[in-house]
Order: sequence, then C-alpha cells, then structure tokens
Amino acid sequence: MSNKEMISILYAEDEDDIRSIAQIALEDIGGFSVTYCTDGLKLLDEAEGVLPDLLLLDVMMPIMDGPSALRELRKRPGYAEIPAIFMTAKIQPAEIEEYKAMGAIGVIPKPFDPMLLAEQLRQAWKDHHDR
Amino acid sequence: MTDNIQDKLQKLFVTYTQRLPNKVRRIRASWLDLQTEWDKQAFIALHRDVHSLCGSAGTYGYQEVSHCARQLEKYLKSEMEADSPAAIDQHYVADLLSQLQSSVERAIRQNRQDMRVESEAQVEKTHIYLVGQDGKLECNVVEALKHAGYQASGMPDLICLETAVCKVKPAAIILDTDYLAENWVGSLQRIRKEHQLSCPVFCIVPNTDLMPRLQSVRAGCDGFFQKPVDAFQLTQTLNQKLSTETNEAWRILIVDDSESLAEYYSLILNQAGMIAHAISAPLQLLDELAVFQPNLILMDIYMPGCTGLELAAILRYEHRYMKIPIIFLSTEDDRHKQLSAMSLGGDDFLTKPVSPQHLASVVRSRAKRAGMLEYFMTTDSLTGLLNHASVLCRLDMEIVYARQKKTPLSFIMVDIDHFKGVNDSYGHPVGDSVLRQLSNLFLVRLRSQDIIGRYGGEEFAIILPGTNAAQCLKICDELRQQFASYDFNSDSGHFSLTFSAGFSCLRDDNNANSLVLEADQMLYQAKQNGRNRVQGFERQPCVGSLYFN
Repeated sequence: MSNKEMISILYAEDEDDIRSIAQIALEDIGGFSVTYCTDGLKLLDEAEGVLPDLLLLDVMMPIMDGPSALRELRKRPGYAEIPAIFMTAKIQPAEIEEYKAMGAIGVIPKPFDPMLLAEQLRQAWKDHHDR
Repeated sequence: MTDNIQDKLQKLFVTYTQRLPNKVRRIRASWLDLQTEWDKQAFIALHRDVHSLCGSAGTYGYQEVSHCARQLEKYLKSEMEADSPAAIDQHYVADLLSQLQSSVERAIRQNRQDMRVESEAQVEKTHIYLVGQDGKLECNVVEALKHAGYQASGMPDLICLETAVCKVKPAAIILDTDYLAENWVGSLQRIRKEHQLSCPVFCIVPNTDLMPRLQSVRAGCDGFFQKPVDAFQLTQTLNQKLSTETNEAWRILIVDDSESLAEYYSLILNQAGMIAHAISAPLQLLDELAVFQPNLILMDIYMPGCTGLELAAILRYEHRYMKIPIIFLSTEDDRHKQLSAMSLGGDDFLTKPVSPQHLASVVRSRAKRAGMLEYFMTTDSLTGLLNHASVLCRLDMEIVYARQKKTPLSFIMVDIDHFKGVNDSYGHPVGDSVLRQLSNLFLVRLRSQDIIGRYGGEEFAIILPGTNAAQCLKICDELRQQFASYDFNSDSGHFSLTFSAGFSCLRDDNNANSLVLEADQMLYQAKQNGRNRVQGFERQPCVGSLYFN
C-alpha cells in the first residue's frame, strides 16, 4: 500500500463543453492540477517529458481515441505504471475487461456529476493503492 | 461548496443552454446534407456529434435530451457500415431527430420556468399546506404539526393553494378526497405541473372503503389518512415520508467473482443515482458489510470458494444482517432452482443478462421497501421516537464518534413520576397522549443531532452528543420545568405531571454499558430524593490522603 497523493492529472477530452465543466470539477472542487488536451494525438505530445499522477481519458475522440493513446503511452518509459481512468458514455462489460487489461483503474460513466467527479477519482485511486 | 464554484457552474450552464439549439440544428443540417450527397466521413462526423451531445447534455442535467441523442446514436452506430443513404431507414432517423428537437425545446422551456419559479418561490422544508378541511380537524392537525416543528397552514380551496405555492412551496400538501373527483383532479395536476411541485401530496379519505383509496392512488397521491384523523399518526407519517424522500442514495454492495461484471453493475447503479460498491472476492463480504453498511446486496450465485446461496444463509444467521435484502443474479433460468434459492434467504432473482433499466429499477424498489421496513423496525410506534434497541445501538455509534473527535457526550434517562396513576385514574388513552406530548417536547426542544428514544413504558433515553455535564444539567432541568408546567386534559378533569431524570457523561473509564447503568442509578436516586428533579453522576471522590488534607 502506498500513500502517494494524487495531484497532477493529464486529461484528454475532445468536447469543449465537457472540458469546461470538468475543469471546475477537477480544479475548483477537486484541487487537482490538470493539463488538458483535445485528442489522443495531442495527449501523446503533451505527455512528452512529464509524468502525471493520473491519466484521465475520454474513450471516443477524433484523430486518436483514448484506448489507442493509452496503448501508445504504455510503451514509453515511466508510463507503464501510471494509473488511467476512462470516461465513456457506453459501458460494455467486454470493454471494461479490455480497459482493465490496459491498466485502467476505473471507468467513469458519462454523463457524470460535476460535484462528484473529483471524489470518484479519489475513490478509484484509493481502491487501486489499497489493493 | 463556495459561491464561487456555484457561480462558475451556473455561467457554464447558461452558455451551454444557449448553444444547445445550435448543436441540434447542426446535426439536422448534416443529416440533410448526407441525404443529398453521401459522404462516409461526414456520416462518421455526424455520429460523433450525436455521441457528444448525448454525453454533454446529460452532464449539464438535460437527461431527456441525452436519452434521445443516445437512441439516435445507437442507430447510427449500427449503420456505420452503410455506404449509401438508401441502406438507412430515413423515416426512423427523421423521427428520432424530431424527437431530439422537441426534447431540446421542452428542456429550454422547462428551464426558463425553473428559473422563474426559483426566483419567486422557495421550497420551505417545514411548510405543510392543508386544503379544504373543516375547522376542527384543521385546527387539530395544524396544532399537532406545530408541535412536531412544522409550520402548517389551512386553506379553504385549490385557488388559495395556488396563491400560496406561488409564494412558498411547501414540503407536503394534504387534501380532502373531494379534490380527487374528476373536475378537481385536473386542476390539482395543473397546479403541480405549472408550479413544479415535487412535494408529496397526501389525501384524507372519509372511511374504510377501498374506492376513495383507489381514487387517491390514481390521482398520484403519496399516501392517505383516514377519518377520524389521528393527528399524531399523521405527523409521524409525514416525518417518515419526508425523511426517506430526501434519503434516496441507497448503498448497494455487489458481489460477483467476475471483476468486470461487478464493475459494470456498479456503474449502472451509480448512473442511476445509487452508491454502489463492488467486490469480487466473496470471502471479503463480512468485512465489507461492516465498513460499507449497504442497504442491499446484489450477489452472483455461482462463485468460486463459496456460493451466493451459502453467503446468504450465513447472513440470515447473523442478527444484524438479517434485514438486508439480497438479490441474486444468475444465468439460472430454472424456476425451480430460483425458488429454492429464494427460500435460502434471497429476496429476488434476476436472470443474466439483465438490462440496465431493469436492474436499476428492481434494486431501487427493493432498497426503498427495505428502508421503510427499517424505519418501522427502529421506531417506537406510539411516540415515533427510536425504540429501546435502536437507541442503544446509536449510543454505541455516538460513543465511538465522540472518542474519535474527543468531544463530550451525555446520556440521560427520564421517567415520568407516578405515571401508573395516570393510566389508573384517567385511562390508557390519556396515558398514551401524555407519552406523546412528552416525546414532542423532546423533539421540539432538543437539537436535531440529539438522539431521543423511548426506553420502555414511561421511560425515555436521550443522547446529547457534544454536551458536557453542566450543559446537560441545564438542558435537562429546563425540560423538567417545562413538562411540569403542562396542563393535561381529561374527561375527569385537569392534572399536571413531573418527571425525574438521571444522567452521566462519557469519560475515559466508562463505556456504553456503564454509562447506561450510571444514568439509571442517578434516576433511581432522583426518585429516592423526592422525584421531580435531575441528578447527575459524579465519580466517587477517592478516600485518600488528598481528600483529608
């Protein structure tokens, strides 16, 4: 069990409306420090040279989707172990299995409640580290 | 939450709402373009737009829009392989698009109304409106509700009700069955809708007949009271309804050895507004139960190590877990085996695969019912206070809490003096009404965090968290004086009563048992010393050199 605190989040989401409400949920309510990008490819650029505590990825994005971006990131040094959480409007048992296999520690269903998002992330983080 | 965050959210919400019609317009336009000129990439983009709308509309609270978008999204996805518009059911898409359009229009209209009503009338948690009752009944009910901390107002008809809800929205409305007759029920529904009243509506039925009850159920009432109305029972029902109404975030524990299925169920239930927690190791169940304290368990039958049926049987042996409902999930479709599973302690049986809506609805209604049973199991039916067992259970919890927070805690035992005489000379109904009035005095005068229980007969137990001996003595003595000033009425004349009380406070060297014992000793001493007094426990001064110096 580790007591590591979650502070920095690298977040990929293509939709402005969702990003802006998530910003309040993550920064104002959650107190996290967040870097934003709008698709998987930009995420790969943004991830160059930094190691966030958590990756928060929308599943469906143009250019490169969340799972593909995570698969790429996992090949990079330092990125093999960073916990990831997916956000998706479609929850399928088979997909959850697939995300888990890629090292996802949780899935947040969309639509999400902005008041609870930070708490959900913290809970997933805690469950992961208690395991 | 700070106002700042609330402001920011509000601003975002307004911007999103302004943009919403445009989003739908864009979706419709690209669909029209596709019909004139087919383009695979444009079709994919259209699908993505609809997908985004589905996610964002829900997050911004437009559930119906999100739902319509989801249906369209599903259909478009299923036709992803199409390479001409001919393959797609044009009528179906056009239909879904117009549904989407009207859901947006409805949402925006609704939203305008919300804002208007919100600024005009505030929901008042203690206001109860009583419509169309005769003077005496109205008086009784208003008085009883006042004692229980509500502010009730009587009004002669629906017109007055409408005027009143424009100013202040009540926590509940109580009506006569007259208003459920056909010519009225429409007006009632209109008022509820136009003023966005989400509060429960209760109905007063004239007799034991089924018809008026049926009428009240059909009119969408949340409960009914029968004439002659027992004002006290009415107050209690309101307390119960209004407390469970707000407390709908059920806690659901999911036990399934397939981690991904367990997580799938938990996401569905979370999406439906419940707090779900999943475990995949059945042997962890007892530990999780103690920590998570679920209202309901959703459990797979076939798991390695130990089956769901065995776990259910174990829980049914444990007194404290006996009442938690268990729903089994399994691929078993043999009705016979399902029934035998239920006989082992299950409450319901769902056959996999189960649709998300079905799962959420079964779990919610089971949990709700269990919540109501729980209320009746922990509550004393005469006074509406906690019963003996639950007040002791709460004492254990409060002690743990007080020790953690290092705050004081006092425990009081109250016993009405010469109560037997009241029953003997005035009869049991009068005795009962004395008990209720003392209960009401406690409810009205004590704080919401204080815990009040009927310990037995004419004996009451009160837990005052965060209260030391001096404060406890003061509070308790005020209650004593107030009760002594009450004038009780009966057919054979007026009378007054007193009570005696003993209390003790939490220290490092006592526990729940000794705390109760000490308070009880003090109560006994108060009685010995002449009754109508409050006695607090003090540790015996130790007989030693210090004492004599």
